[in-house]
Amino acid sequence: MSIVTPSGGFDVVIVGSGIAGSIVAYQLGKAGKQVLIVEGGPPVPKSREEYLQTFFTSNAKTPESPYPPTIQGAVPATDDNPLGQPNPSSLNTPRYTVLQINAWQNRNISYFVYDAPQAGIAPDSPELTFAFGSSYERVAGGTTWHWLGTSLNNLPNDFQLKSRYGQGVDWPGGSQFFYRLLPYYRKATEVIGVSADKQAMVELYKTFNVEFSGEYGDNYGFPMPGIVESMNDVLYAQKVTTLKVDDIPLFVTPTPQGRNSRPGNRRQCAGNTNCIPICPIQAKYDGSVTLAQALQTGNVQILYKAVASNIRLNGNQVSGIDYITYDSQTGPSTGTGTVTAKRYVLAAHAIETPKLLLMSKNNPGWPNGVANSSGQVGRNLMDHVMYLAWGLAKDPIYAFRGPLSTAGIEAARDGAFRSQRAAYRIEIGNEGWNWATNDPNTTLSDFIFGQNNTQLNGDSLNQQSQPLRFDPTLPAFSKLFGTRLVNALNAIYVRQLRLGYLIEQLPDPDNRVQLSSLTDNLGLPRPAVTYRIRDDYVRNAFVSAKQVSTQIFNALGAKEYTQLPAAVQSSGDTVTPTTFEYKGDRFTFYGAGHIIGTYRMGTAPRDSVLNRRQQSWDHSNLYMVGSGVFPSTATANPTLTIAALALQAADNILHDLG
Amino acid sequence: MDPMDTFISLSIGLTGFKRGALAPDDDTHDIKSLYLKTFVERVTQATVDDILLWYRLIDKQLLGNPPDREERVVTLLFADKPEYELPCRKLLFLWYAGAWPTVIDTPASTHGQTFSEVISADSYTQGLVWRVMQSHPMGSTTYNYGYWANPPPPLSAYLENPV
Repeated sequence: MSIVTPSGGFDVVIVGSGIAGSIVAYQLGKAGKQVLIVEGGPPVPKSREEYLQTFFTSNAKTPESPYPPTIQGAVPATDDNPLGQPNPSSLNTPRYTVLQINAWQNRNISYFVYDAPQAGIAPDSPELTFAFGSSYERVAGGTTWHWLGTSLNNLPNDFQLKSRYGQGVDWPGGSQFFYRLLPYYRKATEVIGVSADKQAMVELYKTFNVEFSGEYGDNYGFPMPGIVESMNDVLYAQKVTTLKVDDIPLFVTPTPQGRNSRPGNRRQCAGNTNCIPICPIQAKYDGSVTLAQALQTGNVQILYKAVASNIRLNGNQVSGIDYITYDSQTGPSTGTGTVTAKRYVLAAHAIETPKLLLMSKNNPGWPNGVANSSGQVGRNLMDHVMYLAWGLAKDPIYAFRGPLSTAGIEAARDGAFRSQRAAYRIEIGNEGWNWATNDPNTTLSDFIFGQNNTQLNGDSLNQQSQPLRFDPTLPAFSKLFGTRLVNALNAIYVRQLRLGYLIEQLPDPDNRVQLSSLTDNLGLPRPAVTYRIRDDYVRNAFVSAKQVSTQIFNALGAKEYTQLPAAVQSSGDTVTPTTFEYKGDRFTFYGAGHIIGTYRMGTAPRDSVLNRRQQSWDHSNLYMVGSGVFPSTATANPTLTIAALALQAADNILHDLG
Repeated sequence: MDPMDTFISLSIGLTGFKRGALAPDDDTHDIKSLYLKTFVERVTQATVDDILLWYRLIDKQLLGNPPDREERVVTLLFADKPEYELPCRKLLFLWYAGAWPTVIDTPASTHGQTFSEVISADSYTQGLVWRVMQSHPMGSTTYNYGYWANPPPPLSAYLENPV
């Protein structure tokens, strides 16, 4: 790849070509600015069929399974590495994957380096450490390749959590942040091409006292009409209106989604039920869409397989970014270089961005890394920690059909309860127990081999004392074949229900990304990660989510199959990665894929990395984008907000460049 | 009967699917050949030959022509030759999941668990498990926008016909 340096030099260098970096590049390129993107991963393949074939043949169909570097079968399988996961130290662009969660204490498998939990720690101790639950990609187009597509706004109160409820922090300007962001939210729906039912959105936001006006008001229409709801959604919509959570009446809202409900520049959604890990027909938006638009401006160039390794400073201004190139994933580096521009943008998501800042510690006067006079770089790592609940409907709802999720229960995203416990939105899954139990395979092997990993084929009762054996006329641990197998499997799969609670997490300065002493194949440090769920505020939401799930399944006439997690092991060979006890109960949390908060915006240089313009307090020619800038998780899935903030940052950079 | 005919009859008895689904006349994917080959590779030619031989012997002794003939033969096969039940169940899993299973006996509380290895992209998309749920493989559908708002065709359509 040869880069042609423009006669006046580059205006902007961007590290990372995911949705945030690509949006900034496109906006600047359209405005005639000369832009260079430095991307650590390989280019978008000629056909997404390459990624799709890798997905089809992967034994574990995790969010990362289609994408390079290969994460399964990379090395011969062994007892402690049955899937043949590669050693992260042998790769040029390793990343954290959900397969590494159970192997979090194995440094030959997990890219993130974790300390073991404190010896003898109680399973309900707030100091109990966990594996982080979410992952990301290091390829052109970024992590939106394995994105669900949910395109919701945050709420005004999400931005004033501290001043309104005394929890966490406010975003700069509090609720005003929301109103300033509104025009960018609108533009973000256009960039992504969101399909949504506007009336449903208006009704929803009315319940939160949000009045849209001006640019985002009556004359605004989403780019495409809403995506058709599933049979599953309709059942919930009919039944949950009898319920309240903390006095808030529940109702179902069709989700605004970044996938085409009509043919357009991309294809119409065909309901492949595979938004994560990969939409086979690109009906769903991903960052490669905007990356292509950026490159088509003629003003944006990109270096692939170029891993940013150091940020140079001259005084308090960024003067260049060093990178290392490679050819093959496990091969040696093939060279190094330095790129310079008038402005710099970091868009490498919320793990690799703080890692790069912390690695850049050789500039005189900046021993703690670039942009880190506050000491906040890498801190406040957050996710939407998820509670999963699952059950079987009384009648078929035909799971495993349509996009993975087409509706949710949004009513509990705000309310007076937020002085006591975290808010959550409830995502309604269309994919049966695929996430919850790794179905269809687990139910299948239970009934073929007489096992009971789903609780459908044994003697147990659920927590409401209902027997869980699916067919009471069969003995426990039945082995079926032929017609009886067909009938049992069919009756189970078509009734599978799944709810996911996206619980907001508060910033905790000790939840952080640091540099470990271990390195990747390019010699760059691997991240050391510390992660806890310390706040009762967050833990209380798990208690609520569990109660509400049971109420919802009862209202549906469904039987709940949510499994009580196995006891916490805090030492030995099998340290529990994501289970804790609280108020006498035991919970497993899941990652939402939302990596948030490691270079946050704030109102003062002493306790934040960026000002509200997403500009470094320390270095005025350095900007950062992506969910790392969020001061708190807020209650919406982050991508629409990431896109809106990237659009806003692009305007700020254009303003600076004049 | 040639080995493939017997293999298909055995597979009908195991899976509960009809011949038209497992070995359609116009068989573009020819997944049955891949599965017979995989079965041989995983459990040895001698074992497969013996299973098919016993299937044929039992089948010959069966009186009349009941509609569930293949399932009856499999029931008798498992009773007469219990050592062939596990390999046959692994073959059953292969037809459904498109993957070869490894069955382990821990944890005891759940009577063990199963891991599996996908044989090919085709075997994943041709898995019967997607049909028994009246759906399509995750990541490969031939349906059109909005199908998910309505009930699917009846189960029998999925059991009898190729995809």
